Amino acid sequence: MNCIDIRRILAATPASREPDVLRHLQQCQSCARYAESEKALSTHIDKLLNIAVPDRLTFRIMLQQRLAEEKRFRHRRGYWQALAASVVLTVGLVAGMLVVNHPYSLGEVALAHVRDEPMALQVEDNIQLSQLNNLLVPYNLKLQQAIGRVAFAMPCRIRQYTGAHLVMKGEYGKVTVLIMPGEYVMARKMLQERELQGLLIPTDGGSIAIIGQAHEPLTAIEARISQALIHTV
Amino acid sequence: MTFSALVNAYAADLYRYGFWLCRNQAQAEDLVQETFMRAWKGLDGLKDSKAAKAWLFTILRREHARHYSRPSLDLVSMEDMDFESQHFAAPGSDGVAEMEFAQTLDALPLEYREPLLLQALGGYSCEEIAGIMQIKSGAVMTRLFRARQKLRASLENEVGERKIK
Repeated sequence: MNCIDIRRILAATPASREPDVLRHLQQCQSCARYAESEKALSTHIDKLLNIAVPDRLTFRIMLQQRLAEEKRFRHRRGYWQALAASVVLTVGLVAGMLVVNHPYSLGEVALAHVRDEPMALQVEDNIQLSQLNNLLVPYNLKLQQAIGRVAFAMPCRIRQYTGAHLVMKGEYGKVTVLIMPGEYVMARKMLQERELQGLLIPTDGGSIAIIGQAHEPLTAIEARISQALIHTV
Repeated sequence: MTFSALVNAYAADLYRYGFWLCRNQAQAEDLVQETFMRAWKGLDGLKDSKAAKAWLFTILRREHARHYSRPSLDLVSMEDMDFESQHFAAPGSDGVAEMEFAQTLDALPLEYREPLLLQALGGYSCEEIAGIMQIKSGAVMTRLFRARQKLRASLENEVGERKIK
């Protein structure tokens, strides 16, 4: 390869590691200078292209995916329910379809949900009250006032219903709040599993799980949520 | 590879690629969101996680072409380029007007801008870019050369003007 061949390659691909190119650059000072100038241009181009990415881009992508997932689930569930209902109607067992037995308790499911979604604990957004209330509209719920710094908020399916998955800043770390409409519990319950501790709180339309690290004062967050959360219908 | 891992790994690069393709923040965000929605729907078909990045870039590129494509321009052959007229001074050593440089990049026809973006943001080789763009590797080199030549001229003009002042 002569100098023109080498420069032709470097002009298009300055980071070329082709053995012929590297060998030539060791022997030809002029081409080595040319290679340096092309690398400098690349650095400048990289700097220019490296624009800031909107803060909430990742959040919006994940939210869109969750909503699509939920829509897909509802569609499938609607199809299977319609099919099942027609079968059940024929045999007169409609009531039986409404009884759902779960192998795990709601508390176990809530703890597992926190463990299975570590991404939620890494997001560092600052979700505004209006955005939270937009999220809660489908569940006929509303927060009358701010409940503290919310770093993540997204609809999530827990067992057969969709609810809201929030992550708040606690005193010692992140605290997950799962608002679970349609998931009823009889009484307030403490949750404990390895390094996680939580509260399962009955509400009018379902329940709320508040889960954080050991020693996190969850009752303070519980009080703020109880005070702010209302039903809109 | 899970969907959230894909988003965390590639959303930023895809956004930048989308932005410099369409030069509009809102459109770039839409492109990235649409790309990931399509990826989510087709995630089961992704057998090799190493191919995920190129797959996502290809989806975004197609989405961009579908929504915002423009007619292509004629290209100059690599053989016709004048290497003798190239200046080899390192550009930008005394600071460069970013705006003018950005405007030059912005003014590049998409055919030239796109392989440059794939090279700089995607880290792809000429062969890989050729695969993504469905053109020959020689054509990729030609386009890269022309794009870089224009950007270099912009930088050197700026440096020259500063020296005169």
